[in-house]
Amino acid sequence: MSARRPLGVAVFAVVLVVALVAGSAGFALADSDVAAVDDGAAHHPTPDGDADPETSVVENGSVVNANPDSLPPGCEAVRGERRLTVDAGREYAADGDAFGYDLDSVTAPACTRLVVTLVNHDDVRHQWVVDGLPTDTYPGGYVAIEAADRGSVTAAFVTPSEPGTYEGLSTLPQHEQNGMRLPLVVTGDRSSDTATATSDESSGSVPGLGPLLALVALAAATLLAVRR
Amino acid sequence: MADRPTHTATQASPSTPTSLSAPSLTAVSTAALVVLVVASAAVAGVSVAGAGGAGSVAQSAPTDESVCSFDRPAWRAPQLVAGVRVDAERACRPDDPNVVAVSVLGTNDAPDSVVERSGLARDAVVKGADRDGDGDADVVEVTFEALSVNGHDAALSRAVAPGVTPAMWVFAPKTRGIVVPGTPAGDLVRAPSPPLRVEAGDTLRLTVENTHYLPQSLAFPGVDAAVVANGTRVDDLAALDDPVEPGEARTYELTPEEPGTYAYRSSAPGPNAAMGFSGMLVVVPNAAENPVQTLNVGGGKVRHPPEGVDHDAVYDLHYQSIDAGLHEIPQQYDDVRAIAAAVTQTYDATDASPDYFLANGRAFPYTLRESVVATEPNSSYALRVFNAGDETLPLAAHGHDLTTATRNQAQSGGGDPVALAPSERETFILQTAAESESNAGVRLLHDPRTAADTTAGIAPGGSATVVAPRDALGDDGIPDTANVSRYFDAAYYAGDVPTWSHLDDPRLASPPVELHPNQTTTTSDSPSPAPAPAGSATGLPDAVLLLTGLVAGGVLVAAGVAIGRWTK
Repeated sequence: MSARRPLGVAVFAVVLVVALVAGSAGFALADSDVAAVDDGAAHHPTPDGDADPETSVVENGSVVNANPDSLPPGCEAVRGERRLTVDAGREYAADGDAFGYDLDSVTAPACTRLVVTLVNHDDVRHQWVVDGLPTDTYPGGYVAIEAADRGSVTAAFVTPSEPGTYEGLSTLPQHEQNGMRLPLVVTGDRSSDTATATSDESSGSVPGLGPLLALVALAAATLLAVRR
Repeated sequence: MADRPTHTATQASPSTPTSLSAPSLTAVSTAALVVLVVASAAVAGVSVAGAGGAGSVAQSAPTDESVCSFDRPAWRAPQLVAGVRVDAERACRPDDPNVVAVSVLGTNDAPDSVVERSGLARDAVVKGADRDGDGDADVVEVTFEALSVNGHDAALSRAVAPGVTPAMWVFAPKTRGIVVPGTPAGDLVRAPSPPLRVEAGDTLRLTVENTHYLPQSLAFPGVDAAVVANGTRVDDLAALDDPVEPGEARTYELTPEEPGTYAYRSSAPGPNAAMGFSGMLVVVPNAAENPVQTLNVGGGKVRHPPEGVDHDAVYDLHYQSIDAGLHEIPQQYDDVRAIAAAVTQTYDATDASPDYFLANGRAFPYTLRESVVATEPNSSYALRVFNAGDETLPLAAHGHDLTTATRNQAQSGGGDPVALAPSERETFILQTAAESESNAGVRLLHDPRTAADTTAGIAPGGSATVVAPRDALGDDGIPDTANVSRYFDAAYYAGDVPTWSHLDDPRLASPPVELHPNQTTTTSDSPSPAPAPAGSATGLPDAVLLLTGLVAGGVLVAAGVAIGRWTK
């Protein structure tokens, strides 16, 4: 029994270290998320930076920073093309919201051309703005697809090389707060599918003290278990 | 209890079977303890960082902003944009000449580049047929979006005074592109709902796209013309039954024949007009070759005044009064049902009392940036005034008379206030003296009620602006006869700055904290104010320190107990 004590201590220490690393990694991740979001201004994109965002007026709306070809930093080639349709309108609003999208999130591999058709089911305009993108390729750090009236607008852009969750929303006042949130999840895995509607609310919540304390408690529990 | 872990740990090391493992065990135990301490410190550090972050966010509101700060000074000059004459506007923040030009030509006739710079949508202002053949369009289609500013967690924050950001609901011309601060579209979304101008006899088709979260509907008080929507004449009761719901649009068509100043306002149940869903509808006399500036975003000077105006300039002045209790409701919830219930059921409009008084969506000192009436000697100015508030609006221009065609208020050297009933509109004429007699200086144009000269009780504030001779304005359009920079400070309107602190007179500084009404202080032996507690030097709330200590202590004790039990 006593011969296992050093082993137990070692396990305990390892678990603790893992807890610390995981905890700090969690915070670091949260920090990088915030930094990505803060890339524009405050909490939302603004057209500042070296280049001006490029607006193209199209039938029934406009697109900012459409980019079917240019490679974002870190991409060696456009790895493929995915097409998806995003439906937007009041009919997709949850209770207590005003508007909504039909999807909860959009998942796509890195460095992939995403051809998005935004379908507006209302008589007011709707947008899907993806923020936090690399500003070298996307001046201001965002792509904006706007359907000015009922109908659709299609635009293409290349997903960044960096996996992660990119904020997606409508910038019309209170639209984001009232239901129009559709994050873009970029995966490093080429085989993952596009436009999967995930049920979880991957709102990029910041890990709090909870996970860290839980891991510490887990370490203590492991220690006690090993003792027996 | 506290020293027990180390005690038992040192005792445990001799009892280990091999000498090899003894030092390693001690080392590992020590390492574990160190790790625990580090973990606790990390927890404490996170708490500290969290508290620090919250504090910095709370203090991130601009505390000492510059008086003007505007990066488009070229907008102030008189200019020709796409062939449209745009008059000078000697204000710190003038209207965008691109928006003025597009409002004159229409989004359908203005060059694409000008429309794109303006931020207006393609269907914001569409000018149609010239029915009477007098060289200007007589059918005007305007698209408004119903939306909100300063809402819950809003990106688009529009302060009406330094640090004062009541939620407001507004009609804004339909824009294109992302609606965030610093974009053309973002700049067009603001209070008040914009003054609309048409010629007498023009057909106005006003489309409201409801991109707000509550149902809306429109009425046109004072307009003596049929209003048709959805093919039927607008009926105020039917509007209650069939409002424009979120996501819907409705076009209101009317052909006002009588020149005058009218209004458009929400007729949906609840305090919608008080929240900001109301604006001026100006009908000017029909004239040849008279394409009018359909939109005057933000009110203020009309930079392309209509033909046949007998005045040197025309100003639109939209007065609002704001009950802070109502206007903070939309900031408290992101649930539409909760806002609807709080605004229409919990909030009692019969208990309303205004806290903020606004002219063109701003209170002093921000009115100095946008709504200064810049005058030349021996000139006359037309002020189109709309009282959108719920109380009678007295209006006085110090040193000037405000006269009207319909009521003669002129008194020799009097300048008595004129009064507008709630919802009343009126055009006032302000005449300046000839140059030789000009000694007017910068004079207040204000609502002289005590409350209306304040912002939530802090003076100077409220809807006051000024009438300023041209030579009293700096290059940035701000009157330069006094230093008003101290009022561009959120702390001042938070009530944190003594009114006369700039006089640097200790007799007018903040009173001692312990001084209560009816108490007296003597100069000889009054105790100096208590020094701040030492703990506050760290800048952390005591509660955070206590909580952090408890958490860290708990973790250490738990670890100690665990190690102690294990080594038994």
